Amino acid sequence: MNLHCKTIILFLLVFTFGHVDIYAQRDSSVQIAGKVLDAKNSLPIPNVIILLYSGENEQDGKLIGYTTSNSDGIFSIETNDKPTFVIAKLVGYKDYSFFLKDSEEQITISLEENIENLPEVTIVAPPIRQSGDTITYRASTFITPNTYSAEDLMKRLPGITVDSNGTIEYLGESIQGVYIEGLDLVSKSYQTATRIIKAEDISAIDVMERFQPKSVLKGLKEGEGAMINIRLKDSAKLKPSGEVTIGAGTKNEENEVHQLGGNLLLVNNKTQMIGSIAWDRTASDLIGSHISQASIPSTSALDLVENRATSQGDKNYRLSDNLLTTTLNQIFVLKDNHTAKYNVNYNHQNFSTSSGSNSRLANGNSFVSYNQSKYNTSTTRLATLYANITNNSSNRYFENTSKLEGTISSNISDISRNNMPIQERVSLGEIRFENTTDLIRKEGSRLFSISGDIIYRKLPKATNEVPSGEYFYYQRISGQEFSAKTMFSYGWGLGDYLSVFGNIDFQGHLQEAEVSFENDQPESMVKGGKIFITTSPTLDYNKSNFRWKVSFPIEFLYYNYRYLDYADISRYSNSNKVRLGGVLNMSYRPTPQWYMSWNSRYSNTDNSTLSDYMLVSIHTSFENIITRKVLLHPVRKAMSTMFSVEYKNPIKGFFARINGLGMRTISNVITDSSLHNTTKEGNMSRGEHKRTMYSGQLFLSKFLTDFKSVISFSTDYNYSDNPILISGRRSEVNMHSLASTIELNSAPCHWLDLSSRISWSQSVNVSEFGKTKINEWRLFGSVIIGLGEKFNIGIQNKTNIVTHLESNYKYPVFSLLDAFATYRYKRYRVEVRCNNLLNNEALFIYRSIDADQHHSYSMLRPRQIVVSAFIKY
Amino acid sequence: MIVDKIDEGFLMYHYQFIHHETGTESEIPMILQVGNQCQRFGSLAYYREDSLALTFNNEPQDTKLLGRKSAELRALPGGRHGDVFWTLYSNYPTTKRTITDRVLMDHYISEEQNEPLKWELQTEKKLIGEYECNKATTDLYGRLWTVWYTPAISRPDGPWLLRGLPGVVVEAEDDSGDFKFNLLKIERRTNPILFRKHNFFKASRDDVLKQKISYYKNRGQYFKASSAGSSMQNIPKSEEIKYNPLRVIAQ
Repeated sequence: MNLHCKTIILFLLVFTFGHVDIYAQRDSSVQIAGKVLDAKNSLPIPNVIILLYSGENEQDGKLIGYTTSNSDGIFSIETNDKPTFVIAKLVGYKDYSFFLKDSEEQITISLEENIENLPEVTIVAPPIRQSGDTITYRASTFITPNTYSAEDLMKRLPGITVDSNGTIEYLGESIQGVYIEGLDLVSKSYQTATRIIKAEDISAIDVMERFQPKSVLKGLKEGEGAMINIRLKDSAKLKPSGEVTIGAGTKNEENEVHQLGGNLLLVNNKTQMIGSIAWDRTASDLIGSHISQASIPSTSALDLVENRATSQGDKNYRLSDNLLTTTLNQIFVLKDNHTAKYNVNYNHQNFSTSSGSNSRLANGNSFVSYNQSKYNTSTTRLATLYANITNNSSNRYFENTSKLEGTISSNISDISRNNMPIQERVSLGEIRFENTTDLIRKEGSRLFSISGDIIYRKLPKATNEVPSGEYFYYQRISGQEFSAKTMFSYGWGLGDYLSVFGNIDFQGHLQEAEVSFENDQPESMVKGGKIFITTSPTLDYNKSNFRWKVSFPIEFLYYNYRYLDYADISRYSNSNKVRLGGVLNMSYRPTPQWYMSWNSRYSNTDNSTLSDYMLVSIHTSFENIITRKVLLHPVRKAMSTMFSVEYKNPIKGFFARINGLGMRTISNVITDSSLHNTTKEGNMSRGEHKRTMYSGQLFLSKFLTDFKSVISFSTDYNYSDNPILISGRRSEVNMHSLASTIELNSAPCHWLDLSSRISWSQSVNVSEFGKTKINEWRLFGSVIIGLGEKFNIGIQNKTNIVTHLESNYKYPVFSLLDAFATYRYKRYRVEVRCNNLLNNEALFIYRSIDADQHHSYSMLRPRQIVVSAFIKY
Repeated sequence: MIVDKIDEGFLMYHYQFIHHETGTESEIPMILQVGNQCQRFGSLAYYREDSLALTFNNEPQDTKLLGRKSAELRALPGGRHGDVFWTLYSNYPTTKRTITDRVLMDHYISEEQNEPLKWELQTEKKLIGEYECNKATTDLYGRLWTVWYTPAISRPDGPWLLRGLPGVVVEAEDDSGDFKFNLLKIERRTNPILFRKHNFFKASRDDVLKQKISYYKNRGQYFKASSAGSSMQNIPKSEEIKYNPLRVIAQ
């Protein structure tokens, strides 16, 4: 109906019914009055919205006035125009609309109840919102039919990125850990938990920026990095849930592979528990099949050799895999902020890889080349036991943690270097124990803290050997150490925001290590200890939006070691030194959207380790030897400054961060590399070693609400110059690298999931020995299509394209194509997964280390087809 | 702590209140309880504390126990009242509204006519979360408010005095940007609307706000002038805070 018609009708209506009693007209205004009653019991209904229109209905008419009924159900309204059409509406009742008649003196509206009412909880807030330092993502907005786990869900959240190992970053920086319903059940080892927790059970994800886990320090000290908190739906709490998996398939159409697994999650007010067990011979990512990382560092003796026996690598490069893993974590909520928790892990894994390289090693004025292929078999067993008790109240913090870990690992490499067969074996066993205690008390504006840390580690034996041939060697290392640390700190408030802290830290280390060669007689040994005493007077200013801290660390060091010199004569070394440093940190948060920080530091530290007293030649592998002939006390002076600017607008789904770092270090030890055949020997000697490093990173992430898509962009620039010494020839190695990544995760409609990541990087390495320039493209794409409610099919592809720009040499482009199909029915899910569908053989990479060049490849796991069934309970 | 049940609420709105009353930005969770007779709007912290009083059957309790339980409630997420000591009771008593407030140790009560606001409905629309919202503006106690309400939820409810629109107020902001309300969620459940009893001083709302201005001007001095502080010596002079109330005081 056009406007002209409406005007005529309105004119006629006004003309015809102009005299009716229901509205009293004074001058040009009209008064409408009436009452709203419940049709069921004739009781008045308050708060009913009464809308008056001048047209024939809600869509075509013009809203000319509105009012609401009072607590007696009575309403009255004055308008300038004459209404023709009335609508009364209220949640819980059916809408009631009618044309005004002239016969009524008083309008009486009867509303009928509506079965459709508001749901018990209506979420009105936008999908992402900010509350102080916490960003909350509402899970339901981001979940798609293919979002199974918390990890899958987090991949879809703007500002958050998750890599293939399940490691989570927020604004391009690693997170502190993951809480479940505000409790620290798994904290740093969160990968199993984020794979076990189902996305459908999550109500929201919180990101708590600069999270301070100790309540007593809240508002006084910002934490390092963000903490993620997973909030579960009420329906997912109280009762245990989990999943059982069984799967089998073939590898290269010849060998059988299988997987078996189960997991358990229990969350209630008193306790939380996560458990998982898996036996996996496939290359798939079965829940819980990640390797739990050791959390106590290895003995200093083990640092002497490259610890290759426990290295992991990408599953796609494993030709065979046999993994048995089990983990159990539980936390109990005791009274008044007290919690107790334990964690038990056992991992056994055995895998094999095959790789090769065509390498050029710099040797004075020339290069030595070799071709190599290597078949590697690795076995690792890691057991950890962890117990913790915490009291985290607002004026007192107490925590005690005990950890016990044991590692047994071995590695056998069958190598062919320039057609010469070499077999290298590495094996080791180590046990580690740590106990930490932390107590903080706050009384008014005073803060007192004391903490203690005890570590005992023992390496009974680590052997590296090539049993025969030109590269023959045998080396055995053993050692143990005990270290204890006690820290006292006392702080006073000076006015509203300023406080001064004094602290004193005592650290003591007792260490011993021994190296022996083929005759099993100790060639080198060291025994001794050192004491550090550190104090860092600190002035702290803590306003909620502006903070700064100035601190001047003073370090006193005393050490005393007995060692064998290069001629096997027993000697003593002792000394004491005082060194000074300085720290300045500032942060400013003008609005909740912006955060800026600037940190500068100068340190002058004694970097000596046990290895500095091992005056002997040690093999880190058959191709690398490190030699120390004289005692060097490495001292490192470092000056660094870094800034960071963050901006986020959660309502618009936009997150950005830019940061930069500049660092200059000067140390007094330099290594001269020389070649013996293709074995490289590094001779450590006294000499100034200056290094400069700059790096910058930009991260942008945006959620496109209409397309249910997250688009993220990041770019990194790194520069470093590093002096190298090769056969007495000195040079600077300048390295530049620029890398950019753009990533899209999109679910534009409910049956389609798209994911793509394009990374480009260019690295340039320049020294007197030559220049290399490498371009690398890494492409990832995945498409998942839903066929009805129960079926999904998908493919994903990873491609690497590497070009050596100096020689214009292009490596063969090989890509990894995976495909899968899923059928879901109630609690069941069946999945067919095919890895390396095209059966490509290898993936090529290029590495440049100092002046050496390595054109390498890694063999890909052959095609594998696995059928798995998942049963949720 | 004694409370009276004044109505049975059937809806609970969770609002986030962002304000700059005392210079820095504060963000306070607020609860709007809606009953058939009246509505209560106040901080989540006060809502929890009053519910606690009902839990203890409204009987006098050991103050230490109450203090400890109140402290536990404040430690919960959103437990702070962050200087929002006022609570607004709309249509209580009928046709009027009551505002209770606290300045240091003194409790005040103000009563005024509950006049409906005059809203200007605008044609602009925007999507907030999954709700299409319409714009409306009003002049209220010296500030120009812009609110976004959703006709998709047929209730005239809104935060503070910002109600009476043909839909629920989802977002509201004043022209200075110092005050903002955001709706987070609506719960449909019955809950008693409670009125906390105190030995109130009766005063107009403007007079209470004037008391607040003088309190924030010199909190130490204000404390010294109070009955509790009169016997204390050496109360330090505290930094002046320029109080910027939600309602601009009529000159």
